[in-house]
Amino acid sequence: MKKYVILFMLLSQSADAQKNNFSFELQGITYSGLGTNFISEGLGTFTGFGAGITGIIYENVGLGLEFHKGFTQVKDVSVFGDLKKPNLTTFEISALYRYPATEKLQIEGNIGVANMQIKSKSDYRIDGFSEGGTAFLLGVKALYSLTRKNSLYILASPKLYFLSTGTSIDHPEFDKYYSKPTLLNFTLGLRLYL
Amino acid sequence: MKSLLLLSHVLSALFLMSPTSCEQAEYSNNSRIFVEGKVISPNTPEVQIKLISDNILISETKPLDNGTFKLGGPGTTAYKYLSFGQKIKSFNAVQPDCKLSYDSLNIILPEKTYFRFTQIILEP
Repeated sequence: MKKYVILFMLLSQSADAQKNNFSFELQGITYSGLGTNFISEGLGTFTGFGAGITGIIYENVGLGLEFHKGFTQVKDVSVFGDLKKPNLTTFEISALYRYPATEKLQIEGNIGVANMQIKSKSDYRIDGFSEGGTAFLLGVKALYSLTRKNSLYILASPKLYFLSTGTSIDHPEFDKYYSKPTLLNFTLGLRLYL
Repeated sequence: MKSLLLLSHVLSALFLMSPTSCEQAEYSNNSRIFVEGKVISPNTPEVQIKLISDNILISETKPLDNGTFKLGGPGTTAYKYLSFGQKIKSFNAVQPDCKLSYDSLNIILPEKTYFRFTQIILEP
């Protein structure tokens, strides 16, 4: 009997999730370099904002699109160069799996790709300097319902980005240092089901 | 006729505004340069090492107490040089084609992205 009750609860959860197919998110974000690379040693933590949409395609599987913009300062000129006000723009697409843990709590797993660009201003040229490339991303999102109808959720999410920029240096160690940084992102936000 | 006159004025103005007359270095996006090495000088802690291209300061640093330094920054379209704020007596580079400038104040670097200097001896 207990088994059936649990099964019923899970089914009704996924039915609820299907009712609310599309969602919109507003986020506060941070990014920092992880390990030894030019972002972790040359730059401070990026902080900024983001927005996203998700849609369920089949049962608990769906797609998500996100846009992030973060700002920081140069921490070490000898690593990053004499550049000013670096900002990071991320545009990503990911597949998601939504698991309703309890009536109020949902856990989502994300796997996807992102385009990341770091643009910096310069005292010497108007156009400044930019670098970036494609990243592979892995993330988890915890969502907690704020309303009785489960239409508004608060969310928290860590994500890892394995970035590959187009930069190349004629030395394997420093090539990896400048072209293959790993970034750790934290997101805090609100999700509204439409 | 009047419009032709106007056109000639506009064209000459455009010619004057055209940037072809002064070619300057620009940043080349998605490009980086890295230099490391060892400075030998009687006043090592005060040496300021700069990597410059045209009038762009790419990166700057001070050597550690033992004289070693690491310097990275954005790539540019023009040639780059290392400056120490004082005359250079001699240097040894792993990469060929690094040259001392005629006034011995800079080391001019060829078009590469990584350089290592086993030693750079500055004049006292």
